[in-house]
Amino acid sequence: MTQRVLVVEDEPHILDSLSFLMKQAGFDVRLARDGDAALRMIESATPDLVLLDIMLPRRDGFEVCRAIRANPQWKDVRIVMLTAKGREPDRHKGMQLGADEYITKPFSNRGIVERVQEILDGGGQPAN
Amino acid sequence: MLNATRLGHRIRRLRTRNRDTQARMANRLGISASYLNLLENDRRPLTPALLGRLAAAYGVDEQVFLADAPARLRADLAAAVGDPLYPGPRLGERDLTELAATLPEAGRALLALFRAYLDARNEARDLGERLAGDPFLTEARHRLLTRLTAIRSYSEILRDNVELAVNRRQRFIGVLVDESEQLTGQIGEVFDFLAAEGAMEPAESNSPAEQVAELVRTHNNHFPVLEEAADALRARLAAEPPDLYAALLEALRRTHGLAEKAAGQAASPVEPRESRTFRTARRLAFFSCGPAIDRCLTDAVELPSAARKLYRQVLGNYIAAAVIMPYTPFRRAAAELRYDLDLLQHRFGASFEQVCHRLTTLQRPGAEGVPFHFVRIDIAGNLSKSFSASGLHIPRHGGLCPRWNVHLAFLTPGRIEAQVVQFPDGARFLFVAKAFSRATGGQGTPRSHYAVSIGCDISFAPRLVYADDLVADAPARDVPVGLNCRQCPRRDCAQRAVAPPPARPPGRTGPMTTAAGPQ
Repeated sequence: MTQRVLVVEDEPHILDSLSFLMKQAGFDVRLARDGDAALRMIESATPDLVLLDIMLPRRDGFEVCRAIRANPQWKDVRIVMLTAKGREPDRHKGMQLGADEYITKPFSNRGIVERVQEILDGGGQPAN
Repeated sequence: MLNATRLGHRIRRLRTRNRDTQARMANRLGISASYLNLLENDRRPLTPALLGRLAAAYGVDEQVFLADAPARLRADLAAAVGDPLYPGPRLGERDLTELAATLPEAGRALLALFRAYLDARNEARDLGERLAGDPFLTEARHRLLTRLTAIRSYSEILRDNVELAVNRRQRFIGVLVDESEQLTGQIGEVFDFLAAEGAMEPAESNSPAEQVAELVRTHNNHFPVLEEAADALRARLAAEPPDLYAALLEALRRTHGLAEKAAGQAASPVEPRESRTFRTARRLAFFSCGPAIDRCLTDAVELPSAARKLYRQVLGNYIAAAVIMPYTPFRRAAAELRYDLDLLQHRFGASFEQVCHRLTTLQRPGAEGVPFHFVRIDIAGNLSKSFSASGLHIPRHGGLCPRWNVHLAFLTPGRIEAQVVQFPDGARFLFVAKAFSRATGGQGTPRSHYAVSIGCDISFAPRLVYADDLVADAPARDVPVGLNCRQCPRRDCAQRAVAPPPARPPGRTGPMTTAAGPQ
């Protein structure tokens, strides 16, 4: 069965490129441009993995991450956080909130696709 | 009796100002020239009778002549030349007295220069602090990296997909052109901003302590190589507190052939057991963990030798802490005991400061503890140690906000105090602090007084026992704080020590609490 990836990103060009890359890798791709839309999307079509930007309008990536981890129905959803390089406290906070992985921008296309595939293939342990 | 020994300079100055020779002045005072010479060299006292004659002959006020005006100048000069700015040779008391008494204008000119230098230095430091947390730069960094991300990603798509449909290809190239243009504009904005802030001059060089602190920060205060070495060492010791100290001593004696007395020598007659244990562990670390320390030191090849030496000490301290509080059991205990610092101290036979500091090193990827920041101040408020993994930006200069409980802790020494604070940008933290004293000897020996504080983002507060008695979910009851007075925009604070920073151009707010800015 095709695995579903939700991309949450407010920058339209990055959203577009991630969408292209994930579709090319064979995933069923859903898109959201803010935290509220992301949660609605998870509710209606729970993804296997969320690519989650931190700086989002309305509800930020940390809040979305917290909301996903607070709902036992979504315990299997993998979370990969995205943010600008050099923000170590963000990385820490994201991992503490239950993210599975943290990828810094600018990322390499191949790197991000491979990491998403590895995580979905069970290459990363689910967060506690 | 007049303090005649210090008046010789003034007599000479009075004479030269009046363009008198010694012979002429002696004549006017009715004394011999050789006696005047002795007076001017402080080898004879100025008697009240002679002072009266001096006042009458030269029309000076006796009180003004005697007033010790140069004393203040002398003290100010002493403070100025004591600054590390002057590498030496040091001016002695006699030189300063002479300068203040005979060339007060020159002394005052020197002081004016020194004060101008201090102002410039403080301004440069404030600028550095302000830029480090400036929301414009934080935002600019994010926007620049976003542009770069798009450019990189689309370039790679075009490179890796030569078969792309023409219209799609054109669209992606259009994105590249658009993003590059935006990037160019944004880089220009950053340079304009830096120029307007006067930040285009070269940065001042850091002290060895700051260089080491910077290096520790790049490692996020966690050194896997040292953790491994410490775990191996602890396993060889096969002892738990309270027997750990004895085991460390035994290892020093057996493995490294140190005589019993040399191995167990106390740093002072009142050195507490936990300090002795720590010192002994560090000593053993330098003997037993040389390769691990050397591996870490390869990072530090660029450091000047003073900083490198200090870095070595820091690495030794790190191993000592990791031997006394091994990573895995310590992290487990911290979570179980909900970071109860008293209980952790007791369980691991460590001091309050050692436990607090060790908590900041729990940064192993995948097995992190709560991310804390750490500050240590002395009773005069000097910041002597700091590290931040909590996201709080700790200012290196200009002191800390007086509302932080690390200062209040001195009012209740020995007791752990907790507070929930809120910064002007809305960031909230839990702060835990305690003040303590260190004896250096017996009765009559001065004690050293410190306060240590750790803190974490409010989202981690429920994991700490200290949040139980606080109202962590009522922001209205938080203690309003800032970073320090120089950087704090709170105009209504009764504890403010210096004027708030100047108003900023529209659209830009004050410095951010956190390195990352608000999320």
